[in-house]
Amino acid sequence: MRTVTFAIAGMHCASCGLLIDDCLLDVEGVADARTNLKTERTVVRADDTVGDAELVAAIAEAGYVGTLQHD
Amino acid sequence: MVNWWLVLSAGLLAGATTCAVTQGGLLVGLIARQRKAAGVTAGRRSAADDLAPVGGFLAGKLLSHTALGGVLGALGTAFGFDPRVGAVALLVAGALLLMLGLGSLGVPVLRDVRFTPPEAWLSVVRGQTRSRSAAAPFLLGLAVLLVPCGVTLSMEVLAATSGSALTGALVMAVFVLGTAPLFTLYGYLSQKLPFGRAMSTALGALVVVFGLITVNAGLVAAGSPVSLGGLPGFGTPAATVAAPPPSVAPGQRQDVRVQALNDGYSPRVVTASAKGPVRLTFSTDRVASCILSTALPTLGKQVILPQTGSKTLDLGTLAPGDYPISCSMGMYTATLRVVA
Repeated sequence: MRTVTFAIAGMHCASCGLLIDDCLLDVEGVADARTNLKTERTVVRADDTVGDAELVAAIAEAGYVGTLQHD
Repeated sequence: MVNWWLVLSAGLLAGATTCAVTQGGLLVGLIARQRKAAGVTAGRRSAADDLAPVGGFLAGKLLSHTALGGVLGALGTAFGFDPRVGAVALLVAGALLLMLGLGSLGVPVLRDVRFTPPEAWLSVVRGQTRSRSAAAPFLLGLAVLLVPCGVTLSMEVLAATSGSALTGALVMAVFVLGTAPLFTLYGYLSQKLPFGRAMSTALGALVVVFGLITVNAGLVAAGSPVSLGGLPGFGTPAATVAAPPPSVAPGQRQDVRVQALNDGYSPRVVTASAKGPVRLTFSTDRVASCILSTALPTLGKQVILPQTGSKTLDLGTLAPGDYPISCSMGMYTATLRVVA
């Protein structure tokens, strides 16, 4: 299990964060996803088998742009 | 006091923008997961299968938002209401819309003013989106009250200053009903809307325009000398120049008449003398628009006009100057000009 953080662009309300989490949780192997509107960050806990590109695609499916953070 | 077209337009706008994209996305995700769990395929679904969850969601949303509107209206009434409060409410609502619209256009300075609900509230909504219960769409509709977007917040401000619990409840009910057509279409299509960056920008611009209209309505309702009416192409046409003031003996009462029409006041400028008290009468004939709620904001006067008939305001003796007349939402304006 690993934890990755994405910076999110384009959110305007709390529902945006919930929608991003919802799309991420639909990805097989994702255990948890929490998006913070204030910090504009999404923290994802997922199996090692889940690739970053897959997560970025799920965020894009929700209508937002996610950028992997290396911090 | 309330411009129902503005509220309904806000609902349609929210349905086309924030609500449809975010809450609609949550709803469609919920429906898709439930169908998958139940083994229902697209070929075996009827229109009723598609629309029932949307109906449940909208019923829940209507119930929770109407109840909140009633509570906000009651609280606002408890704090007292006068026409100037309505003007401030419009300014705040317009500012919220502007912030939402500019934020959608990528203006970074506005990030910190967004309403962020506590994590506990988010958990309630999150719980419903992953639920397998048949009642989940309805419960999700109830729960989205906890995650309002900027358009919803602006309507809540209007509900709080609407003047009564009933009107506050109606403001929120009309707003939610305004979102219904696009939600229904959305649920019928049963898929997340394609929402590219260009679409987001276009809708953000639309929200900014709507915010400017609302701020302008607030400025006019507040009797501000600065509004869109002061710009070329807006405001009083040259043909409505005021008639000369009547000849009045000191202390003599003056009767000034203005017709309130569906699309404005006639004449747009009326005159009176500062020498005697002014009685201003508004007359209507089968009128059905927001002009039925008319205010003289700088004098703190407001009157609800009958659809057909007349109402008179005793204004007393006024100092020379221009006194704006407007519907409470600031869409239609006229001027009472008092000369020495």
